[in-house]
Amino acid sequence: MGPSGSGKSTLLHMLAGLDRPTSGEVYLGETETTGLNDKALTLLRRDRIGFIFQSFNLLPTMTAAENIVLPMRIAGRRPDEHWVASIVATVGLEDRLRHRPAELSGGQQQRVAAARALASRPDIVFADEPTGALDSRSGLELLRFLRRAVSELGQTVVMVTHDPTAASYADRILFLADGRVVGERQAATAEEILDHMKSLGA
Amino acid sequence: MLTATLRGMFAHKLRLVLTTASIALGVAFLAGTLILTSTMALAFDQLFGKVSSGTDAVVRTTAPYTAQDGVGTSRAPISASVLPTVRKVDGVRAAEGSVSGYALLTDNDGKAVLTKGGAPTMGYSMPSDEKLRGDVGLLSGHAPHGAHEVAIDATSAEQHHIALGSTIEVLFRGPTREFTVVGTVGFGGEKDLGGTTSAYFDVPTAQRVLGTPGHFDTIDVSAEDGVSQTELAKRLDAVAPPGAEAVTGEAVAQESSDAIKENLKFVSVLFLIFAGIALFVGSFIIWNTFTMTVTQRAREIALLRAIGATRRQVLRSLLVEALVLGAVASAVGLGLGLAVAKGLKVLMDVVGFSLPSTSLQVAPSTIWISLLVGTLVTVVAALVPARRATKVLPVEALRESTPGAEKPSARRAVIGLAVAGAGAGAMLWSLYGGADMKVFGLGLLASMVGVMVALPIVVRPLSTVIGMPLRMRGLPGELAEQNAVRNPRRTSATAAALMVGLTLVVSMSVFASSLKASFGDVISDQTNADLFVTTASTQADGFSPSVIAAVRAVPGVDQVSANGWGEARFAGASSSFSAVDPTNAEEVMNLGVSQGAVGDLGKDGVVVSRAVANRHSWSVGDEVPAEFAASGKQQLHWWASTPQGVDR
Repeated sequence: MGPSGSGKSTLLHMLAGLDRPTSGEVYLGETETTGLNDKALTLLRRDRIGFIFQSFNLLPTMTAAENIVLPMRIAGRRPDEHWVASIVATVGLEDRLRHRPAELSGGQQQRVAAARALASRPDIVFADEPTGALDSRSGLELLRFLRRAVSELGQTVVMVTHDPTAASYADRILFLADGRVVGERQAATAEEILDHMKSLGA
Repeated sequence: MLTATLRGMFAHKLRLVLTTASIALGVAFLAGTLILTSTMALAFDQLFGKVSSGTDAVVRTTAPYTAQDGVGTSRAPISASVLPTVRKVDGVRAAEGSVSGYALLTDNDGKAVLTKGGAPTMGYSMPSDEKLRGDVGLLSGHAPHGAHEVAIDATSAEQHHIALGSTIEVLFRGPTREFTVVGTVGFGGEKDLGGTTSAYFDVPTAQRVLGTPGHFDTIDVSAEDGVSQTELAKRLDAVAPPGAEAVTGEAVAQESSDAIKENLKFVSVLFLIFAGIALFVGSFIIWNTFTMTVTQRAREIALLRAIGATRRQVLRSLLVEALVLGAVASAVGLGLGLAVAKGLKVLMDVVGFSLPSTSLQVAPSTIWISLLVGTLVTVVAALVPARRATKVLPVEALRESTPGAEKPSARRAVIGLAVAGAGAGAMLWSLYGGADMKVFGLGLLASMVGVMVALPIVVRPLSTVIGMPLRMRGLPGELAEQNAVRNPRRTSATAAALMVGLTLVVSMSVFASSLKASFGDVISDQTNADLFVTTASTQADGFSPSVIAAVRAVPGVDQVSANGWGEARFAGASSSFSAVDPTNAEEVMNLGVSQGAVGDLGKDGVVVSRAVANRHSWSVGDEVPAEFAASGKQQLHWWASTPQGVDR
């Protein structure tokens, strides 16, 4: 969590193997991702990482169901039907599966993106400002879903946000400013987070 | 991934249709040409097969060498004295001499019956043996008998209302004669032979008006039942006098058909060039479309890369798209090709190369060549944009702004200029250095590709210059200029497509006007003549010498100089030659004689170009070995040299 320009997204890109740091090392579990070549990094993203982007990033030509299983189709694996069905049920998209992204609301699209990120049982899900393009009600629904994924499904989620409400759903919050980690809090309410932000700004 | 690819294609229907059309058009031309070519081949094979179907073997003189002039190799006539020998051969049912030559029909008003598009006007002997006539059949009346009867092709009779029993004049190389039309002739269902006008006479008359009395062009033989063509030809060959040979009827039909196909080859080549041009333009459209696609889909591609698609998968998905597009477009093109072939056939009819009617032939090779070429062109054209797609970084999926254009690299400029330079060099080499014309084509291609590669570099300076007057128009002008400069690659891609189109248009019009100009130049450079009197058909071998007197008698005519031309071998090399009238050739033609005098030519003199004389180091009076298809080897004497061709 941190203000604009604090380097949140850059950090996330490096952690997720989308970008390379000029110095330092990134580990995903036991794997040092900074030493991998493009192909190995691609396969690592495919098999071990899930993504949720601010702008949904769904393929416009495919239905919701097809978008959800896309990473597994790319990997050439058969999706686990039961698991996918349970995730779809959790995000409440059962009756929208045959629709194209253009026929879905922003909140529904982002839930499709969340389902896609979780469908392949990744080690870790990276979410870059997932509520940034949503209205507050859709945003809350998505945050509740991510919270349940962590609590009930045991999914690790790393989320970047500048919204204290979003941050209040996390177990652990890191504060960034000007490219440095400037603070750390365990679970906190939105007010506490806001206060902490103000103290950093001062 | 395949689903994603196909869905992506159908998401842009208009673009899909346009790109499909661009490739389909090229393939349609290609397929149309191939279909027409095989249709033509079959039609002529059938036609000549039918016409000579009654002839099992042919006895003729051996040709001194094979030369393609008109239909088949020209050879000397065979003496009529061979005929009795042939008739005595075991297995010969009937044998007759055959003669053909130039014969121009006239209609009831004495006007010439002309052919379209240079088809010849021919006269033939009609065998009295019905079987030897093959598929040449009388549609009405009876076969000509005696010195005053003629049968003509049904087309000429119908189109010029020449009724049976009417008297017409027929023009030959010798004196013009009058004949009574006693029959009309068809050719195995056709009313004429590929646009040719035909006049049939009995054999003695044909010898007199078309050939030489006492000689035949060939002796046609019909076998008794149970004697094969090959067997018959073998037996005949055994009795043939020296300098004569016997061949099977099938072989002769094939020779005639091949000769016609050879003559019509230029048509296929011309159409194939069109097809090539269309495909070249098509490949540009494909390249452009895929470049656009990749740019537009950069975010999608980045997303696929982010969630785990490898570079190879991205490349493959785009190439599959190109493959599907190319294959579908080629299939559409193949279908259109049938229509194109029909259209070309009609076109050829209109200009006078009327083809014998046969249903359109789609050979298996036509199908796979069309599909393969169309698909390959599409995939190759998509290769560069597809490779660029693999360079899209996964982070771009997360960026909100569209990626900025990469700066054109200096390496690119160097490569582009090098390729363009090499291409220009190749073109100059073939123009002035004597290299093959194919080198020119390759050079042209290379320099165009080179310019396209280097183009992004010059977009900025060029746009600045072109934009100068625009900036004076205020903000809109400035914005226009900046937009052109913003993405040099896109600007240059659009400009390149335009460049190719313009190159084609300009080259076509330059070609057409230089063709016109060079004909004019040749005629005005080489002659002082004010008027030319020529045969109605370019394929005719000449007209009666009596024409010279007729022309000379016209008031206002000062000089008349007869000319003839043909092909022969001089000092071992094939060359065209002209026969001139030594008495006044220099007055009528700009020969520019540099040594000797044309007036000295005499009966066996030859005028050659200076270059040839120098090459053989001939001097005036030297012998020039020459070989003519019809009359064999002759020794000529070199009397004069000109800057131009070989003349006798």
